[in-house]
Amino acid sequence: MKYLLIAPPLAFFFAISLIPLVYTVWLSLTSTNIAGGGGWVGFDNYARLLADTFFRQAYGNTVLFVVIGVAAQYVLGLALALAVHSLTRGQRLVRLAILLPLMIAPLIVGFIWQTLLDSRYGPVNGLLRAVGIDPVAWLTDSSFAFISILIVDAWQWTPFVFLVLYAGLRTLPTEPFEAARVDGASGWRTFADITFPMLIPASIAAILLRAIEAFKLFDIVFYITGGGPGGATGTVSLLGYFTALRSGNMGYGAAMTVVLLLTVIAIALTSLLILQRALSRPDLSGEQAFARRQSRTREVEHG
Amino acid sequence: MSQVELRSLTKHYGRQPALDNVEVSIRDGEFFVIFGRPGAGKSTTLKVIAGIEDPTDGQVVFGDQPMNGIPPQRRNVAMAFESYALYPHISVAANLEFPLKAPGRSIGIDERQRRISEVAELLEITPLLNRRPSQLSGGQRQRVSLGRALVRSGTGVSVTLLDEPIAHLDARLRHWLRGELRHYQQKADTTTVYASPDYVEAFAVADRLMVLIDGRVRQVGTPLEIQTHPADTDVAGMIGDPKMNLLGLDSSGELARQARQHGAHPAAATVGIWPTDAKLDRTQGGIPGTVYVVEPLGEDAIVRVDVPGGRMQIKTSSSQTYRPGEPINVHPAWERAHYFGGDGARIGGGAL
Amino acid sequence: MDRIRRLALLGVWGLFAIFPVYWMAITAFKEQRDIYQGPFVVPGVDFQPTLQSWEYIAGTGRDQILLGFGNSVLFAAVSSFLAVVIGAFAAYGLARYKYRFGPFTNSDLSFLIVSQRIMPPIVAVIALFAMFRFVGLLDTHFGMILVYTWFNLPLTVFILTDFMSRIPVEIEHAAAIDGYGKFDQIRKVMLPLAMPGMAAAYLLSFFFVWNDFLLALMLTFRDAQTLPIVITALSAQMEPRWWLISAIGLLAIIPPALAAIVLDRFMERQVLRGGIR
Repeated sequence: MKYLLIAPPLAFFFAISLIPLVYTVWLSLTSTNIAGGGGWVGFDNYARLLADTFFRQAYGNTVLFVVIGVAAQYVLGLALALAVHSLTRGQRLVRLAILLPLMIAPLIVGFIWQTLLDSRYGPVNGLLRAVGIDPVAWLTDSSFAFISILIVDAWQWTPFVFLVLYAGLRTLPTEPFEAARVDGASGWRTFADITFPMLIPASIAAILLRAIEAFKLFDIVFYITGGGPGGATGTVSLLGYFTALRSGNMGYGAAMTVVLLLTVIAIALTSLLILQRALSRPDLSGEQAFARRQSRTREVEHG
Repeated sequence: MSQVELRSLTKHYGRQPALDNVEVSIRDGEFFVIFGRPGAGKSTTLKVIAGIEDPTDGQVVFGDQPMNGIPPQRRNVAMAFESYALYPHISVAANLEFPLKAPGRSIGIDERQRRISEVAELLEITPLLNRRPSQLSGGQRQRVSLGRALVRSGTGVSVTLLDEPIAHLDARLRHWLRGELRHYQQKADTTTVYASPDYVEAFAVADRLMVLIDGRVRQVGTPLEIQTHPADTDVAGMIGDPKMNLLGLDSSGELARQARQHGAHPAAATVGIWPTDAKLDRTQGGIPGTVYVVEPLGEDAIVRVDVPGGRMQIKTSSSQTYRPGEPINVHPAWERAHYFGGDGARIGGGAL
Repeated sequence: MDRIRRLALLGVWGLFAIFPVYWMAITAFKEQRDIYQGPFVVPGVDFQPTLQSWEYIAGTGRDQILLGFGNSVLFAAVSSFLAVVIGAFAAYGLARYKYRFGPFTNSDLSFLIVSQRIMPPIVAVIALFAMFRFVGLLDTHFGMILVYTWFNLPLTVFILTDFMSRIPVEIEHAAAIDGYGKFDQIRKVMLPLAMPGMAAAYLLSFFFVWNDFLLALMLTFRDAQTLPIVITALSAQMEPRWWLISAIGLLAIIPPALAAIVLDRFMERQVLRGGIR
């Protein structure tokens, strides 16, 4: 009975995840071409990757997109979650409005933003011109193109962070907040000593899930800049796709995706360990937060 | 309904024994109380009887049928949980109806309605029937939980298990329901096992009780038997309201001298004196002591007195007034004193 | 944070979040030259709205768009449902039972299942293509539902395991005492109590399928094409027909928005309150 419950996901794992994974790893050790040629090359592909400036740029871009993007989205998502949570009316409507970008396929998002940011007929530059600022080459200048991708990614995915944190906020117990109000703690103190510590499990979950998705960043870049200009916005997923399926170097492309996978697994494993520890003692984390706030309040009283 | 036998029942959580070789036979139709402090193993015993927990060792037998390995849904037991365990997604009425609609129980809708309203009336929850558990107070939730167990009385339930079912109610309801539960049980003639840490409650409702300390059975008997013949100092220390006074008899003290003079067992190390079995006196003899504090309780008063062997609680009439710090003499009714040996086991005394 | 700053934040974000959607909406009523001579922001003032795109959708492009739309709705609805149901049972198992396969226990199993989500789809698509071609599932509805169920299962298991383990085990015990077998306990008690989690898991799954591009790009070419693939096909012209893409994009918001509105009320309920002391 109990094995029946988990059999289907495990069957899926072995049938659809493991075989492609093994195949991809095998591919990465060969010089297989999409036309069919190629043979065993051992770790040559990986050695080549180390010296490949395109790959190193794509890898660096991916890491930067993850670090800057996820950090910004977390801060914004948290601020939005707190703001909506404190609304006395219209929470449902505001919530749906915030979630709107999440419902639009990245493909469409790419098209919308491509026209929005167009240097000639896009409304963003139109606005800049109207207030007397020189138009910006949002998609064709390498630094601005990078920022554009960050903005679009934040536009689409901040709602996701918001959703996870907002759900977390709604499950918090009310007692510590009431106690804080009785103790006369300020809004900021309440946030720093109660809300934030109690949101740590939800925060880790949001950041982890978002970081995993961000490492795979593909569609938005694919549609908006295609990785350009000059590889300035290229990611590992994108480069792997172009290398394996457009240029036909399947072996080399596979090696790129394997490096990407290893990076994600390393980060996910570390975070999951932290997450498990945080989730296993939710009672404690709440209590500690509560105790710490009380002791600080006392310090304030006595100091 | 049936007789329930626990045969050398042992339950370990990890290496920690929660129940240690529990051996008791609960009679058919009996109101049986498991009495013990929190953590003594009361809930564990009920859960093992219900089949929620499997015993590490030993057997549960209903009638002549061993129950080991049979899941709760096939044991036909009713249970009120200490933590309530209500179904939060359905109304109070639906909570009460839930066990009556279980597969294989062909109870018609009229009969279900009749039972629900009868139990709701008994527990004073009729006005709450359409609410959700989240809209109830703690005490109301507990009554729903109790109701879910009682609603099945007389539908062929083998045993009804009640885990501190009235612990979180206010004093008036607790007192009232105590009597009602007893009446209800006798009417339906169901075997009932009731766990309670409360002395008054346990002794008021029980046909027989079992005193459980650290997972071991220390004594089984009727309330009267246990009150008149507590098996050892641990049991004696848990019973009475106020509790029995247990005083050490060190060989040279005044208390020991007087006890021997009044016929104490030579090996007695501890004497037990009921709070009602001693008189206070300002003038003559007895055990010299000092009034520590006085608690007036209407007609009666409880006076705590420091004596050489410890501090005693003595129940007196409140017509006499005592002041803290006042010297006083205690006169135990020695002929009713209980004596315990050096190992704590009872060795004599305690005539009625 | 005081009230003013909170409202200012919501206002600014609201503008930022909604303007692109507004832009898409008005672009759907433009002609190609309104787009390239822009930016035109206010319909009726900057440009005259036309129904050109909608006429195309209802006419020339109808069959193709309807096919993509239908496939996308079918795949998203069915595979999310399967992923939630299968995921709920697995999550129940992981939350309530102890498993042991050699040195591997529950947390390893969870990680194994969830780790599939960590794998970038780009890693799998090449092999998946070869496998699907081998078993003849390429460009079939069944194949796409299968692959999307696989795609979402890790997510639903992850969300629901956490949810299931929050449901007090006593409530389940109570159902056993009340005479219900294991299957009924799950069906009548656990599933209703896990409803908010299941609604959230379904919604996220729906979004992911609806938004997927890569898998559909690799595994479909005609019968099982999804909406994003159809849109790509429509835009593969000399110059992209922004007006048409925007119009379809606008239509494409409807199913996930409907799903969100329907499921939102289930997520709202704090069903677990009042069950135990």
